[in-house]
Amino acid sequence: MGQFLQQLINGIQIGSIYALIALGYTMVYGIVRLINFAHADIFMVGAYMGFFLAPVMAKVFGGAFIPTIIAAMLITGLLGFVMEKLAYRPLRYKSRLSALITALGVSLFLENFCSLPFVFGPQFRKFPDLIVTKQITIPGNLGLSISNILLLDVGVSVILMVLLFWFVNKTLIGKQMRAVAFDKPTASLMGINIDVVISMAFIVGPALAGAGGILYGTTYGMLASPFLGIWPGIKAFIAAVLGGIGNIPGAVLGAYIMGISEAFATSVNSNLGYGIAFAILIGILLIRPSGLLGKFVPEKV
Amino acid sequence: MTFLRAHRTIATVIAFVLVYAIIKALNLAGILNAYYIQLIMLVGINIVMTVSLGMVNGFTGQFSIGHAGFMAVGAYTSAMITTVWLHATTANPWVGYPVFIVAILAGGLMAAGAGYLVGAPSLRLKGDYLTIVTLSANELIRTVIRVTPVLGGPRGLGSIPKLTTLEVVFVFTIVSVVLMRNYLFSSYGRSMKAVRDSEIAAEAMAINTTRQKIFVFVFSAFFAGVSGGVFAHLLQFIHPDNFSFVKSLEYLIYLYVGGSASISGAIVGATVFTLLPELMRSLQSWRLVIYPLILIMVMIFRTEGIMGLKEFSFVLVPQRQRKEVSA
Amino acid sequence: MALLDVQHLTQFFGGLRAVSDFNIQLEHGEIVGLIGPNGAGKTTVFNVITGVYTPTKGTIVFDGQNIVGKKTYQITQTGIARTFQNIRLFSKSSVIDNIKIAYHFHMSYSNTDAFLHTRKYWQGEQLVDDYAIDLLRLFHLEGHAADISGSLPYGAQRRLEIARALATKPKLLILDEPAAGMNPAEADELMEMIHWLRDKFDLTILLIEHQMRVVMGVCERIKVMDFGETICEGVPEYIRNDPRVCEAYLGKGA
Repeated sequence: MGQFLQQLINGIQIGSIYALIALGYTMVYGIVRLINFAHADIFMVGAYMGFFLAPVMAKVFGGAFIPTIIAAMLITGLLGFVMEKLAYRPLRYKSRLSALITALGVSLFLENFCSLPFVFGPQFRKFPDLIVTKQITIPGNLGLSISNILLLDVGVSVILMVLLFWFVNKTLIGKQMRAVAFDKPTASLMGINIDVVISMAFIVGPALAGAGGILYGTTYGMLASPFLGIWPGIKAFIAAVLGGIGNIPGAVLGAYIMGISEAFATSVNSNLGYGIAFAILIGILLIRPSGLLGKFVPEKV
Repeated sequence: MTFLRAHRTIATVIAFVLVYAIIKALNLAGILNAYYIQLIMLVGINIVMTVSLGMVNGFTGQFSIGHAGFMAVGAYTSAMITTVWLHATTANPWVGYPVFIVAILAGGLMAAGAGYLVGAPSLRLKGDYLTIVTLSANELIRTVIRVTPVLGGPRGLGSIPKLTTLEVVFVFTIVSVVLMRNYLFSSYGRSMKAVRDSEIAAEAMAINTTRQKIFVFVFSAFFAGVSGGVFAHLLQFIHPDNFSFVKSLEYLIYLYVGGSASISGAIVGATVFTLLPELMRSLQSWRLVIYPLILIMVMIFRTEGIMGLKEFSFVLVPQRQRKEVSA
Repeated sequence: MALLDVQHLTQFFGGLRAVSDFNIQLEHGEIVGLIGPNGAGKTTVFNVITGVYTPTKGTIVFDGQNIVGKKTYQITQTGIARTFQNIRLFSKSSVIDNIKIAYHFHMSYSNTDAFLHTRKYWQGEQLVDDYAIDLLRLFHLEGHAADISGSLPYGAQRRLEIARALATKPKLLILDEPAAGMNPAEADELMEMIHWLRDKFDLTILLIEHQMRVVMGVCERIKVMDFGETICEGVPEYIRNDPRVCEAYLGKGA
């Protein structure tokens, strides 16, 4: 029982990070129907920003965590904005396929460019300690202990998710984004500035991924290489599809399901933990193609 | 055969034999050493991989991004067959080659089976499902390989007999491309393109679009599997990381930069990108920075790729004479 | 026996009732029109008959067979062909290929023949090529045979769409707003073509059209729909004067 709960807790921890990434995938897809393969690399950039900026922040501000995460979010938000303007906007009215291929290209480019020695470099990096790690033993006889990092991961994620929900549902720009996701041509006819809305999606989504990157670095304590975003990105993407691509609560739900099943599968066999993601995905798509919370929108004849 | 068609076919065959002879001569003269010969063989393998991917992505209008997974199935299947039946020291070609051919074809068939498992459910659905499923299938296949000790798991599979030679690759590449070219220039090929242009209209014109999509996906997987077998017996050692999603991405780049709407485009893309690293030796670490940039530039400025809709003349099928209407 | 017999067809999209208790019987050789204001449900009826949607309620019997639940391509194979409101040609393929594609399910060679370019393949290709050129000739499109269909002028594209539908060798041809975007002269030519199609190809024709000139000039019988319901039915003269029809199109007090 103790083991079970421990894995559950681990799963929630991983799931929180996946959620921050998955939200970006789902927001962008919802608005421009693009699977932004480069999103995972934005997450990576966020993590590296933690590595490079933490010492600076610690000196300037005293505490490292909050300023670092804010800085990372600002930088990744900017990166997302630039990415959209340079690479995706020219293709907006061309086929979706070219945009998808370009997204793959941007992803590969970021990974390899950041691997160059004068950028991030391909070598392993130890992530700086942004907070002091403490283990907390849970009272009771289950023998559980959790680290305060786990509380940080879940806490920060939840705070950001709540902020996002508020943003999307209560602010004007958020409502505009939902309108564009629902019906772009009509939204533009209603006077909504599509350019601004799309840019917004490419700022908010990436910013969340940047936060996820900082949490990732804090949780795992290390950055293996600039290719570190690939697998978390794929899993987060699957999480978004699992929940119904384009659906924001769905992405969160999917992320936690992914995290928890990965935790359990890994405890059985580490290779299994890796593959379980894909097995789940295929399973869900066969049973419910639009994802758990998604809606299937047929083409008008 | 009309005279014109026979004429053209013979000319093309002679041209290819000449190319082979020249390469062989240069090899024997020491100008092209084993390294370059291996590079040329990789070009052949990549051509078949890219053309087969192009059947699905370019001509049937789908977006499959896990092609390397099928290559893996073929590579491992064929390697298992030859390493079990032949000991690595067998130099007798009379035993080796038949087993090799059986192994390669078995690899292709296994890959085709995998293609069916992946394609049949997902091609029934409209939308981006195939993309997501092929990505997942690619990685699931790798996971299965990793957890299966008899396949070598994470340590890879070695001691594969070197049965792939320049001659093998030449024949394999030409036969594969010709078969796919033939299919493309048939009524089925036209149906594929119809599915790409307007699936709804194709359905209305009595085409079973789901069955056509699945069939193309399966035979594309077959050719990927055969390529995998040829590949395995060239490098003699295979590892799951040879066949990851990143490898699939490479084939996508070859296809889309070369031009996804023509076989010639796939050939050009595969050739250029296989040979380019050699020309860019000094820029090794920049190679993977520049490739994606090339891809992005092509997508923005010349979406149809280098070849666009054009085909090299040796790819086209000669037309029959049309009957003239009598007054 | 009627060629097409549709009874009590009702179609709901979620809570929206698009078609309500629609009935129609088409005898062989008739030209029948379906008219009504936009949103009346006409194209939905077409889409249900051609298998794009499965009807919520109702039966559809074509040529003695029940076609409810069949897929679109199967329905076309039983003999119903259609054109589309917004032209859906295979725009990247050539004009002649558009015809050949529609002929595909009549082809007699297999996938294997296609891979190997056997004698059966060459014979099949010669056959379809001759057929396609002859068909294009009838529609005055043979000069454009090798052109990319998307590059044709609008009127030629519409003709091609009709020719393509004919290559499936249908018994019933469904035309969805064939005169859309045509000026009166072109519409007159279309009217002549529709009569000629029916006679030359031994067809039954069902069409949706907004241009009254075409509808009155070509249809032997007309059904009028509004809000998913049939509000009137009869010969052109009768329909023209019916007050309910006027009201549906022009509103009360017109």
